[in-house]
Amino acid sequence: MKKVLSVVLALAMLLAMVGASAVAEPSALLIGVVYKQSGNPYFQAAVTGFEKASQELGFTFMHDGPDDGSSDGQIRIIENYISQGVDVICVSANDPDALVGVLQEAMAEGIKVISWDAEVAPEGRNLDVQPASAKSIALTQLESISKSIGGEGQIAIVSAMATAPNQNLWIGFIEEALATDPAYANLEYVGTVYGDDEYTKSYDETLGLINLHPDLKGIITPTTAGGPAVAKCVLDEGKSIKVTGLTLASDMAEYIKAGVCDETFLWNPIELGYAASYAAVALVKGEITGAAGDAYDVPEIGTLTVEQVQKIGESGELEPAEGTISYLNKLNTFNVDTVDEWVSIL
Amino acid sequence: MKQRLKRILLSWEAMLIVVFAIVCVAFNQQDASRQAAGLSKKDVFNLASVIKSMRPYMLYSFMTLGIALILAMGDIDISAGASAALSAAMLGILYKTMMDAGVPSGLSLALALVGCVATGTLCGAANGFLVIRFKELFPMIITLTTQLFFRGVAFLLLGGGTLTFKNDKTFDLLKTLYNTVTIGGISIPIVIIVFLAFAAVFYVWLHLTANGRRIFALGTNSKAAYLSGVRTDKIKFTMFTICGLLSSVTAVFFVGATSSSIRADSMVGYEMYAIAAAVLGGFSTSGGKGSIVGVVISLFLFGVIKIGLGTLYGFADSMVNMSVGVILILSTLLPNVAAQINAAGRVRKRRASSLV
Repeated sequence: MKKVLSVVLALAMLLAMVGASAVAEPSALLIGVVYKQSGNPYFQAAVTGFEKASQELGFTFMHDGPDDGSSDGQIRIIENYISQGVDVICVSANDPDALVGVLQEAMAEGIKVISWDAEVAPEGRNLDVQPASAKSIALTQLESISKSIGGEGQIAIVSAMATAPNQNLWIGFIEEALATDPAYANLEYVGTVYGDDEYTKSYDETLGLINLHPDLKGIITPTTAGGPAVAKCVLDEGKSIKVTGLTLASDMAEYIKAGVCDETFLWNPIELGYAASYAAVALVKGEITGAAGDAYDVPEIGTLTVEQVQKIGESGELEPAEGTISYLNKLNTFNVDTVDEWVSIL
Repeated sequence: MKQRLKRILLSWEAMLIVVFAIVCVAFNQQDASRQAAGLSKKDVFNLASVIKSMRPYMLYSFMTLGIALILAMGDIDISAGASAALSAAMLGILYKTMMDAGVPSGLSLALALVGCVATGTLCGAANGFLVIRFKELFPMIITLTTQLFFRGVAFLLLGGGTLTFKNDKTFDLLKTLYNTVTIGGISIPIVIIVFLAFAAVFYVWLHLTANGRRIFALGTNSKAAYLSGVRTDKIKFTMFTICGLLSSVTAVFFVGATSSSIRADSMVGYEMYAIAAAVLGGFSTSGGKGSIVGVVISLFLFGVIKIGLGTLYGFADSMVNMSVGVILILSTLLPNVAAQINAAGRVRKRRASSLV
């Protein structure tokens, strides 16, 4: 009897599943946000950016990340979003290639795909939204150190690995600006040392640099791993050298408060989520297609343009590559007033 | 006849089907009420979309069959995820090496697939050998060490990065494993069809042949089985080897699912999903029981629950896993509690009758 009942129940369930049909069609735009891992404060901050935009633009959004930070976890979440009929998927990918298949299926169903923070390979997305181009990252740091030391004196760079392409690209832009921009005419660039993203090596290299150049006024360290070592060394030596760079707020808070750093930088996940939302809505409304040359407005940040992706080629120069990207070109500044609110996030 | 019917009705599989039906009805209600309230954009929970969304939850189904064999013997294998990752790594490395050496792409892929399955089989054989050679160690400890070892070798082969074959038409054939085929207007994932074929073979072997009976006999009481002429060591070795082989089948489908991107840290925790599905399917770590039918139902049940909680109730991925944990605890506890209540009832009855 129970078996009969269970079979009847199962059949009823099957019929019900087939028979169900849409009753009300909500008009609001639905965005599915996928990030690398749940419970990560960086992505929780990014979600507040989506939230702010959702109130301004009137869309609804869901957000989730796998708890193990895996690609197949992201695939599960994306498949759930597809079956819920989202209009846009905004994803920060754990692996650029692993999601391509499922995202191509999404695009085939008319869903727009934006990668933000961590890119998806070009064939699996409509647009990539990133915080800052290499050039703006380089120039922001140079401008900051110049301001800190009053526009004149010796400066140096403590980089990561000598072979790191992104580091070398940034250093290239800094060297170029130093050579050509009259604003930096009074800065003397004494060279770059490499700390290999190791704390002790970065510390020792910085010590060598300070001993070699007693008149050194400023150090740029465009590496989150090297930053704290450089600042610690300067603090230990008691020199009046200013340090800036791309660093985590949590690493640098004590040095910012000690006056070693006037300001350091990293991108702002809140603004990244906010800008990705505006890009998503512009894509759905057809205001942009994700092709190079498109432009969309993001309040407080400005008009963002869609550019052809440029990758670092064999020669170390930027070369055009597949896919389109749009940069916020706005870095998050940590100084003595703001660093505390970022310590728990970055 | 009546006894037989009663046994079927009270069987674990029948209970699973009832639970399955209740879950589906409840989810369907939720779907309808969400639509009526205008909360969802489209009909989320229908047969077609659920079957299609089942794909990611079926990747470890092959491994689950292997784990079920091990559980039937009263052993456990927690290295299956790692041996799958190593098999996937080998698939990529072999293909890359052969392509670099100028071997035709079709042949490269075929040989790499053979190598992948051979790697998984070897991993399983290594487990089997260690388990029968070092009987003083628990299989849990042995497979814990091999898990670390296999994962380590995968990292040695691949480093921390991703191995991909972009725009490689031959290797992209693996992606089709994650596709669906349309039968009667419903897109059915290939992985489900292949799994059901595997499950059918395993059903016949495990439940309808003498060899299958021996596995359960071994799990119920290995000493008794040994004394009655069952070659326990040989069976154990074979089962661990088969579990390794099935892990590599999961690896092949996983590579297809993740658009041919191969990483050393992939499929972490898959052995736990597999153990969970096998246990919910009626296998027990103490061995001697369980059925393939139960495993098939429980795999689908897990899939439906995870899809439903994610899409209809807005549960985050971590919450979904937690809920599945709760279901698993309840499902393993309930039969034990029921048995205890039954036993207590019998004791009371006996006391009452002896008093008379």
